[in-house]
Amino acid sequence: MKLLYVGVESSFINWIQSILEDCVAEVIADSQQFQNILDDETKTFDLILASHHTQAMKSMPSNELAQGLRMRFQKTPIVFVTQSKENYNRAEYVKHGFSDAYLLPFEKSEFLEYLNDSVLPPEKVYKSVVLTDFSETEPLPCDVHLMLPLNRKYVKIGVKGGEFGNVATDKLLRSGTSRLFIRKSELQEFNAAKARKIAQLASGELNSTERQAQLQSMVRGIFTNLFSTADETQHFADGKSLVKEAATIVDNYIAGSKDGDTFKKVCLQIGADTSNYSHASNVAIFVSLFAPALEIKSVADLATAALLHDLGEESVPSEILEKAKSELTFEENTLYEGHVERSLQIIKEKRIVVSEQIHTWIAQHHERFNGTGFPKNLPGSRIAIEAQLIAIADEFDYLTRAIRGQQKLNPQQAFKKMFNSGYYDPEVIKKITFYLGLPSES
Amino acid sequence: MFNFDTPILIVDDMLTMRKLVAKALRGIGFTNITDAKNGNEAWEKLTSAEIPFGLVISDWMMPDLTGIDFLKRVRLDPRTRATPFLLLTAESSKDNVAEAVTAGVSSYIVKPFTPDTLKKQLQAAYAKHQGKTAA
Repeated sequence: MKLLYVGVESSFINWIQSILEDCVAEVIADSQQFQNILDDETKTFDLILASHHTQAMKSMPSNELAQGLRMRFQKTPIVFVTQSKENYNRAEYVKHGFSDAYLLPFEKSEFLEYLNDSVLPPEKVYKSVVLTDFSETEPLPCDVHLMLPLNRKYVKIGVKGGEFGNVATDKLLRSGTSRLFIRKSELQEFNAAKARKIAQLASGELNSTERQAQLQSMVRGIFTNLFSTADETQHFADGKSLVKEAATIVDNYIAGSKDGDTFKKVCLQIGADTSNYSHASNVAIFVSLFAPALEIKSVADLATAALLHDLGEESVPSEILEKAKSELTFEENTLYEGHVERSLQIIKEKRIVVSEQIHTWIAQHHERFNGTGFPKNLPGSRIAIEAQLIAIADEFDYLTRAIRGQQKLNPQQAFKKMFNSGYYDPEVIKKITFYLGLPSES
Repeated sequence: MFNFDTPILIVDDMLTMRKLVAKALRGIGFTNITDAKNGNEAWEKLTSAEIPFGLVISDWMMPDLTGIDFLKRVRLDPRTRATPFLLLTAESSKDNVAEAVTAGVSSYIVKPFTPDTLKKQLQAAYAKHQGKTAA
């Protein structure tokens, strides 16, 4: 791999070089070198990292940096990295021409995920998985590896099509680690097999107790995958790929269920055109994973409501959305709170046909258990449990991602914060954390 | 297509972009290239040139005088009214293209662009210019 560093400080370069094996680096620290590299048609790179770390590059506006590099290296991933929260605006950087932007060290795990997903060849990237969803005698959907912690080498212990039998189990026990890995290039096959397993559960071949137990195991597995990283810091990696994997599994589960058709239709109708689709999609995944904890049967409807819940935010200026609620003026607050009603209007305008209960859940998703929510200040007892779940999943997504440079939380921290806030039913939070197998901190 | 010795004026507040556009033009074959770092400097050069410029390529977003306002000034003045004018615009400004067309732009290019794209848009600007001068 060939990397180009533009205006990046040496400590960061050393960190990246230690992560990416076998890569050759070229470093540019000032504007003259920058102009020279733009003029040199012979140079090609697999990844370009740009920053304002070095003094000489600080004076070059980020849009000039982006546009200059993008004009010269049209197809190369070009990522902007910075340690300064001041004026950090990821959307602006991408608009200028960067492939992506990361605020470090807050977004360290997202950045590593980006390297894994977008830069490293798939056969060199390994993903942590949970194999408890497959019995010992079932054929493995792909090769399975364990990672030796001392030298971080991957060793194959299970072969695609073979069984994960006693020999592999012994190796796992002797390795001192409980985590299994598959190559990223085989992740699609693995997830497809997982989705088939969930569909089998949904078709009711097992009795109810067995089905519930297996479902819980699969939910925990999906949740673990979403929050696992190589260094086990358990932060949500924004990797669209990770969310996409969970979405594939969950979508298959929901689509195969009762009312799954509505969910599929809504996905098609709103698609990725809406500006907040990524967040809506995450909330849909989380409510689907949380719903079994409350024995909610209408998972497809719940996921549909989650997809639609913030449609109305498209009419709220982004500068208002980016502020904390406590910082909003009266007019801004009115505009923001209006997004709930606006979401329902858009559903009508776009002729999205959904049930009355979905309308109710969307209308209530900003109500709070202690009665301080909006638009109607409903007390907890009058808020539909499904709306409460959407509210929890909504907040959970924001807390577990690095938004506006805030320190992101791991799942336990996120649930603890919600538990202590008073905005959400503590019993519901407890049920969800128990179901997911998260240690209780409260 | 424009003659390769057509005097071209590039206007952009970013030095990097001025150099890249000039390089792309030279790659196509143009030899007579001048640049200006803002609309006011460009206007000065445009109206004082001994040999009139045959083409202006201007960025849209610039401080003091935006590309669109510079275009309007060029179109208002009888000395420069007919000068072919190409605007460089970022992706998000595509919606403002209608405003540029109303103001009389000859063609526009969305950044980033390849030399091939530049060449095609130059041909479009030339064709439009020829149509107007023939009339």
